[in-house]
Amino acid sequence: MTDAHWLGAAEIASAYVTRRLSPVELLQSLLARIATLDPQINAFTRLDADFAMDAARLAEREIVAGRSRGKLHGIPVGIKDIIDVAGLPTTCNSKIMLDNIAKADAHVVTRLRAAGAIILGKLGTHEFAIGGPSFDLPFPPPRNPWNRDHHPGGSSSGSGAGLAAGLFPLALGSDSGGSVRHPASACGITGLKPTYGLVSRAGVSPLSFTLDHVGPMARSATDVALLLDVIAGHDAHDRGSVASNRHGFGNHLQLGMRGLRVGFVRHFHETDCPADAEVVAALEQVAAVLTEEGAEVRNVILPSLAEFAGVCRVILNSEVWPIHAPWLRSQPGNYGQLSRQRLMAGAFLSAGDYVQARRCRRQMIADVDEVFRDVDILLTASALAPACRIDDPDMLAHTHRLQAWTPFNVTGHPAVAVMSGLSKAGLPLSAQLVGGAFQDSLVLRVAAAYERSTDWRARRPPVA
Amino acid sequence: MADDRTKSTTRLDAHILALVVAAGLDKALAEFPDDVLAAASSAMQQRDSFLAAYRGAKPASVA
Repeated sequence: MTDAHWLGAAEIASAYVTRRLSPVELLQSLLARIATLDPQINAFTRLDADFAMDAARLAEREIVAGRSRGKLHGIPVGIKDIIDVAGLPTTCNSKIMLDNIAKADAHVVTRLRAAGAIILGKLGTHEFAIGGPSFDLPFPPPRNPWNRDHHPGGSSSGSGAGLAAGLFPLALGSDSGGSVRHPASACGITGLKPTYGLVSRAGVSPLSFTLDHVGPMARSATDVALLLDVIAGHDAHDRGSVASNRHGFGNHLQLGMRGLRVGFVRHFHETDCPADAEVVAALEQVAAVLTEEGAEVRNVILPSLAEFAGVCRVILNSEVWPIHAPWLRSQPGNYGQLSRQRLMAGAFLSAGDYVQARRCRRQMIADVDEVFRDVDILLTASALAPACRIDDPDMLAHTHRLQAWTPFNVTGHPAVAVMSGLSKAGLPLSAQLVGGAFQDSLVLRVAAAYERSTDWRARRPPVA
Repeated sequence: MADDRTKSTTRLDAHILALVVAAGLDKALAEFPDDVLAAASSAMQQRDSFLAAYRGAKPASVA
């Protein structure tokens, strides 16, 4: 089968069943592609090719024998390098963690293996999912396949870049302030920050206990739903985990948008933080598509981006400080400069600041929940500008705040970034769809309907 | 040692310096004074913007 590397996970599973493709054939195709393209993309920090090939051969024998391990049987998945995979280093792209070999799988990796997935390797990240992109870390920053001179978004940079380049069909990322949705936006793929508590963070290097989420990333909402189905579920080892076992996230993807009430949060990109003109035009086009598909689009008002961002930063910095304080005291020189600056900020915030931010957060959650009495889905901007050059620190610092992701880390609502166009310079544009708490299925249903209504998902970056 | 620390952080006011010492960041201050200053400045901006932006700096009316 030609172009097997562009198949989605659902298509791969179907091709295995009909014997049009085997796990070994797929993996050989991906490994050849990785060998050619990854030196330009830097998606991987560690490729586990031998293990993956052994797993692919086993999967092939099992599939031929008619045995199925689960929904991802024989399907390769890349793992962000802050998530533990037993026997492999979890480096967090930090000198401090280079020798840290994971003794056990993270809960989500255990779930992936139980579903038959092949763990392909570890993927590039900002240092500790906060300090980057940066050139003073152990691994070079991943590059954007749409233009290698540009930032692929972060901190789940390798996940986004590798998916866009066709190096693997599925990946895991993490998202404490947009780190799944930023690379999804910059690389033109689909990334979901699930409802807080739906996916376990046990075995994942923490950044902020109340803002951290593990999220599925893929090239379509259909595959994101498939991956979420496998990784979602209660885990007693994560105190944020919700005691429920919601599944079937892909069961309603074909239902479309007819009759849905969509709240368009225009003030995020019009007045709170004015967006690039191409981003605005693409968002209006998304609203038009949703309307054509039968949704009713109306304006809604939420707290401002500045309000959300302020609360998010105070909470994140307060919660990350005690995690890193021992190392910042004893070996500050082993951090990259960006991490060092960002992680130390928490030392200068007080308990009162944190408490006040948490109280404001509760009000914000109530404010957003109130809006969901009148609408089913929110449409908002995602990245407020196309990805900037990766070698321009001033632009990186400037564009760091040009986003609408943090509101939903603060509130915990599910939010997915989907590709909504290409800039004149050929860089992806994106939109964000947000649902009520535990309405992840609905969010993915609307994302899937939008993807069916447009051809953005079929576009491929030039490097690929 | 105290003299060295003070000399290398002439731009840090006494309040910030006290927080640095309380946080045990003496080594970071000695080796990376500009990064410590940037972190302190960032934290102050974060707190100010958060308090100013959200409901006029009044405590949220939640239980």
